[in-house]
Amino acid sequence: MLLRIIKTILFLCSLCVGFSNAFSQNTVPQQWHYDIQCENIGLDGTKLIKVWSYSKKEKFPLRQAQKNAIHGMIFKGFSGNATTGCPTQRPLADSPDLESKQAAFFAAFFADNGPYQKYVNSTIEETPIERIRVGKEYKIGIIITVMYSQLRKDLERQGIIKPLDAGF
Amino acid sequence: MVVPSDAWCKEHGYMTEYDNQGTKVSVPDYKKAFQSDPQLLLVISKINGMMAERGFPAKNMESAIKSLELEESEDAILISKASSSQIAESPIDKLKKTAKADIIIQLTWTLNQNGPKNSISFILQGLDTYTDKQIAEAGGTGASSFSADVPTLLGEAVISYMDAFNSTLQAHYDDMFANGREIVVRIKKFDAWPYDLETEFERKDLASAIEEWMRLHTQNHRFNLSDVTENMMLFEQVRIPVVDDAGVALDARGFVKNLQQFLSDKPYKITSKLVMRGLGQATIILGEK
Repeated sequence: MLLRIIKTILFLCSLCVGFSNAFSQNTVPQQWHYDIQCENIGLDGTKLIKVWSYSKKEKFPLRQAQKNAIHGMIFKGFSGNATTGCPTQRPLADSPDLESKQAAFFAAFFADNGPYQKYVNSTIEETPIERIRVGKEYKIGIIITVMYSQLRKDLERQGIIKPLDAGF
Repeated sequence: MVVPSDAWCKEHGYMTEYDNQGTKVSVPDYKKAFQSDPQLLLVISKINGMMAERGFPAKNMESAIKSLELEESEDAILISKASSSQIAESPIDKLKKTAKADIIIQLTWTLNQNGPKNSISFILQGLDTYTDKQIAEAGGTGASSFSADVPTLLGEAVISYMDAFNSTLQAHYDDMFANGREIVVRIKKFDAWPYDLETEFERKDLASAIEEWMRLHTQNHRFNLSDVTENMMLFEQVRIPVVDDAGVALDARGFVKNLQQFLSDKPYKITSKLVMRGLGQATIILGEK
């Protein structure tokens, strides 16, 4: 009888591990769950964007929103906005698998207090935050200024993306 | 080189006429536009600055116009020697040849007024001077404003569209380095030459020999023999390597000079004349220099 109980517990545990692995492989990492839209035309060399981050908590760390903003400029780009006159912006990455190819670089780049911080300009005090409840989670919108030209130049200098004059 | 479009020049009254072999042709008067329109200078200067920042300092069109005027005065002296075989060039072809700009950024904008609100519709077109094909673009209509003046709206339009423009330009360069630069090559013959493209040399007709040379020397063997008769051949979408085997940049003239050299060697020993139109259209005329 005791043996049967132990076997049942072990079986249930293995099922839990299986589900957990499947979940982690098939879902988008939580930290890159966001949308980006152009808020307005920024000053020369900058992009003024609104990042919509998704969170189960009402409070959302600004740091993660900033990371989402920079991640979005490198890997997602944004679509145009007729109201603000923003044109569609392609991502800086020239291939879709750049993030996996340069995994070590981007792990360090997006670490807490990592280099990504140099390219964002926003503070909670100055930035209005919008919160929309979507099902069981919150969609939190924060306006962020990205130092786009500087970000592009630094990624080009470090050989992560190709400069426009490469090959000439 | 950043050039205002024909549509913009016409809308703003910067057109002139030139005599093309007896026919009056209306063309943009760029010199007048540069001397009269400060907004044009503002926009071009802003685009030039942003291209320089990306490692592509744009040629200044005003300087190119001055060089062209000097070249035209020199051509006037040479015309009696070359008149029998020259191909007519329009003023814009001459400008492209003088500036030797690979890409022309053609610029158009329109001021839209809706009651008290102003907005700018802005179009940037990247044109490959080798083929005249559009290879990059960005454009749209900016947000309406009650208070912003036209220079402010124009400055905003340049800032907002240049990154999008450069993204599409990057795609063109990626293609160019992978598949080669596109040119057009024509083979013709002088009437006085006693042979033609069907003449056989070592049991192979001349047209086939030229086609074989093209196959061997084009990037990834890419070209299109659009038309062939005993008197002419037209090769379009000829993809030439951006750099030659020695790592030196190769242009249309350099590529076609190699073909000219091939035809001058044994067994063909053909004297020929090479004529360029713009940067990317080359014609070899067989039979004479």
